[in-house]
Amino acid sequence: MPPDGVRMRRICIFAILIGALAGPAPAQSKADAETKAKIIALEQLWYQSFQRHDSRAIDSILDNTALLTNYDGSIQTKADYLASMKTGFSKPSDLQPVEIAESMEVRVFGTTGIAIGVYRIKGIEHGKTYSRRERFMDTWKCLSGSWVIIGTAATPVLH
Amino acid sequence: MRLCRCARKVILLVLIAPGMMRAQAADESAEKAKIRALENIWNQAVVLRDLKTLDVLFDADLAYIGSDGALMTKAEFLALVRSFHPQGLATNINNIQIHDDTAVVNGTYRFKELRNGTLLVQEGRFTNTWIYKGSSWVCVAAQDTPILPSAGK
Repeated sequence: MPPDGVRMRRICIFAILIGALAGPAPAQSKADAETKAKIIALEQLWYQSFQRHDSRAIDSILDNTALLTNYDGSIQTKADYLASMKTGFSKPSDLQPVEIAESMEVRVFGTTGIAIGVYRIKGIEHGKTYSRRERFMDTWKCLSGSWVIIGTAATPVLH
Repeated sequence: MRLCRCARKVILLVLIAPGMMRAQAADESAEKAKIRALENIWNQAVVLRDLKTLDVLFDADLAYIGSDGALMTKAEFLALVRSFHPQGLATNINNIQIHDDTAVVNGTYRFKELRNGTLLVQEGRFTNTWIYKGSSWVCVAAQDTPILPSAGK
């Protein structure tokens, strides 16, 4: 299990938004660009909700069927994840891991979006400091008019 | 007693709805079976290094995150498979979720490879996303995550 069983996000929103929205827009691309912007905003919402300890907002972002695969191969259901968030929130702030986003791109397939990126996470575990990079992939789906995560995974970057 | 039109419609709906739900459930079950079959074909194609079959299974815009965290395109992943010396690939699908035209598959894998004369075994979890395009399912995203000793489950 990750140090406190949770993942945080800080997203360089401006650089990524500019990258996502730049360029000419034929009809299909314009719709995709709008979807990309929505997903980027939702990724940021996930982060902001975590910062605010707003488990209700995160509850609304994750589909009830979503499974989360953590960097170490452990898996969590949505209920597991929300419970681990509460545990993490109770820890002193200096023991909370810090996460810095390095990159993110969004690919759109109609009403499905896939966010792929890398973040660096630093923290203290069992009295020792650690730092690692993880590549994540979040699968978003528009269900009943709302975008939700239906799957998410992370893999340590070793290369 | 003569029933009003509204009541007749409600009764009709109550009679038909379970059938519709059974039909929906049957459809989803059939699609899950198709996904399972495609995943099995994928495994066989990797072991046999059958790049033609893998080319059909994967979308042109495939994003593949390997077990070392590297992000590969379709071409890069096929080149990687070409360079393999696989000795076996076993997978166990734990969960398939279908949402309209999108399916997410979660499972575990055990991959054996001969590298520089040494047999390497890797165990991990995979998360694959399939999209129904045209008349078939194609994989648009795949991610492997090694299972570390620290993993609780």
